Amino acid sequence: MKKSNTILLVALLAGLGIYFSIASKYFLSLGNLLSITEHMAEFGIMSMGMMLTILVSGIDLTVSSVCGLTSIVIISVMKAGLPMPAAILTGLCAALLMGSFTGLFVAKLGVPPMLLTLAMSMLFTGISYVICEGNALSGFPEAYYFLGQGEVLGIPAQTWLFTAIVVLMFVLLRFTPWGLKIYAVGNNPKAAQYSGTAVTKVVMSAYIISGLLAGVAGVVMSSRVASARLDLGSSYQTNCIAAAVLGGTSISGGEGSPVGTFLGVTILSMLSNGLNHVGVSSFIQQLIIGVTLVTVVIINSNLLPTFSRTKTAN
Amino acid sequence: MAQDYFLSLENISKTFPGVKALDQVQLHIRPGEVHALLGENGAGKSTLIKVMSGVYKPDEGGRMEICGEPVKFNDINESIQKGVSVIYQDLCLFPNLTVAENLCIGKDISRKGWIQWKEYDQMAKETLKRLNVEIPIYEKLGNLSIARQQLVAIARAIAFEARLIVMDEPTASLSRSEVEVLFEIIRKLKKDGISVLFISHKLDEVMAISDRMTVLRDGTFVGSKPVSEVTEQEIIHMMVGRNIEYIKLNETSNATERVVAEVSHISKKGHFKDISFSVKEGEILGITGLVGAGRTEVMKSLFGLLPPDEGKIWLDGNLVQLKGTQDAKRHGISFVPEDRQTESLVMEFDVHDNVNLVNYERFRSKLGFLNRKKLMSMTGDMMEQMDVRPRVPERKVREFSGGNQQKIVIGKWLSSNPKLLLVDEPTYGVDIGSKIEIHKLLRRLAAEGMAIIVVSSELQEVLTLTDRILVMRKGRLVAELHANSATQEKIMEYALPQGKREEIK
Repeated sequence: MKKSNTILLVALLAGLGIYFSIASKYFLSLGNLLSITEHMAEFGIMSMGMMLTILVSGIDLTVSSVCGLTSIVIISVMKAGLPMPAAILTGLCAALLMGSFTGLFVAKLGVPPMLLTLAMSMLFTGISYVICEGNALSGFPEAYYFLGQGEVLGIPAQTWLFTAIVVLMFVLLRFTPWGLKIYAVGNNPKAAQYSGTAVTKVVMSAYIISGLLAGVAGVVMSSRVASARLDLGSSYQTNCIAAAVLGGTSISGGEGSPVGTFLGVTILSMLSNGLNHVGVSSFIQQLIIGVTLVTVVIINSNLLPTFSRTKTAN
Repeated sequence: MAQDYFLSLENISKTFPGVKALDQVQLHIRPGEVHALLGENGAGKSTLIKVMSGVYKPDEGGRMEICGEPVKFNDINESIQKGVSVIYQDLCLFPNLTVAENLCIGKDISRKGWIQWKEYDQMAKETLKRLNVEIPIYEKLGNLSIARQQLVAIARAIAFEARLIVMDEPTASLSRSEVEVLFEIIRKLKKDGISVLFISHKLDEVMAISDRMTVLRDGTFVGSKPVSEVTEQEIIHMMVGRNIEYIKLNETSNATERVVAEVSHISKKGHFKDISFSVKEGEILGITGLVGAGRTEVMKSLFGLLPPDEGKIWLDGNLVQLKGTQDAKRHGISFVPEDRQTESLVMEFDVHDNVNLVNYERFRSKLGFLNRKKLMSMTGDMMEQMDVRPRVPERKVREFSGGNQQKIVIGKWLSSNPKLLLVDEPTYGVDIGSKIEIHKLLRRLAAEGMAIIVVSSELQEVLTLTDRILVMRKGRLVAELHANSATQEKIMEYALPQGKREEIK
């Protein structure tokens, strides 16, 4: 990863932190910081999957629909009598399956991911509608609320989960052959293939993981709001892309890192939280976030080299 | 007299940080002459073209004149206005637009902001007529063959009233008959007083079409001569500074009796039909034929890129299914493709990761993590063995020169200790010095027991490097010759479309 980029993002983060701490006395409180991490976790988990698909020169517009459908599957099978752990497992399997189909079509058919995942998301949302008829479904058992509302050692459970996923993703991408292949395929699929890489499998793996992570986010979110809804993740989808790109993921693939995306997620979450505390109306908030994004993206693309996993000489 | 020349470059130097790419180079091109610019890779040809076309600004102290008038180009548009057009290898055209649009784009034919389509079409037609070529102007460019697209690129230069057309390796992707068409056009340009600067690695073509030539070596000017006064040998001598002939490396064969790979009756619809051959341990098998005869496709089948519809492939006596490159790699097959830039290397990766991508199985711990320490020592060994320069494994591959990139490609595969090495055009676009090095390396690998299949269009290469030669024509295997008794003429007899056919057992 290029230092200049990390420095830029960390500086932005620090600047925002300092400003909000001065402007609002509540911002720096432990409670508020933890609530930021709580908010981060949900769309952060989705962003990690989104980043993966962008790394292999694609994009995954199904994440919000997978998120919603997973929650609906879980509550449906639970109502059908399945115990909670089995129900959650069923939901995650459904998410995995959705990711697999998306990945299969993208990798094997060569349909542009933007188009295909958009269509798939409509399909998944359609299935959700059929099952829940557009209603929010509630009636989870008490224990289900732990992931979205519980705490471990005073820190929200979902924050632990998100941290674990970021670390896992970092380790996988940096230290395993699979990670190497993800970057190789994103950079030059042909050279990757000619080096003995099964390109379709690698591309599929990115979408499968993205689907699974969207499912995990669905579990967390439905647990927090105590109901399953088809539009659970819909407000996060564009934010996921924004966080990944803000964190230096190249939209043409092959460049980006979990650390960068993590910083992107943090900045976006802190920004919306901090602006709330400072008392900026939500309408202007959107504007400010937009301006920040545009600025950082321009700086990233033109003035500074973007995140790169490989080291360069000199 | 400077006025005798259309373009005259004197004492042109170009310094990049740390490198002097051009040092006091001169080049004089007369109106209506075909001038060849020659030199090995890295001799400074591309830099010189970029100076001529305004991409680079030369260092102070040189002089550039057009028709005797001093000029200075700040960008490409200025050079085009002065009549200098460059046709790069990748043509820089728009495949999704029509021929007419491609010809006229950049020309301002509008009235009150509205495009005058009729005038566009008219101009396109006239330009193509001037070249005497028939290309439908409403056809999408992308639907034309590369050769026809190239003619459009030339026509485009004409439409912009070029007085000098620079052609960078124009024949690289053309078949023999297409080259003839191109030469016909070049002769026509010549008659119209338009100069052509012709850049090619193929000396026979240079000899056939050029009037004069200029040779560069290591960024310096070696000399300019009329082509009629020099021989190919003399040109090579000027390019490399020493006499190099193809060295016959295949006097004795290292082939043993053990068959490493055997291919029996494989076919792939639209590519090749009923191909059978085998290659032994320590043997170099050459496959030659005209471009498009299906040679590369057979290689791709052996590497799992183009699984055959029917037929069988045995490796070490075992029947194998090669459905993807990962299967081929697992069975110990390596493939060095023709195009380094797009097919062989991940340019944004450093050398470590490129080597790793092929060899990661050997550096994986039980838990599936990569052992970087082991990898690093292997990359270092490989770079030393292959003499890759500079020896900086952390450097991105894109920052190495072409010859060194080729060494990295071969090296990364050798690190995986393959049983069977497939090499497609091993010395394409490689300078003559490195050519010999690569040939010697391949012979050494064969002597160590590797089975190697070399696909090459260059008959001299096949004749001096390989042990046995297979000739393909139109997707069929038509002859098997022994390298020591074969000649160029004999190979061509089989390779040409109406040629002979020998029954192969």
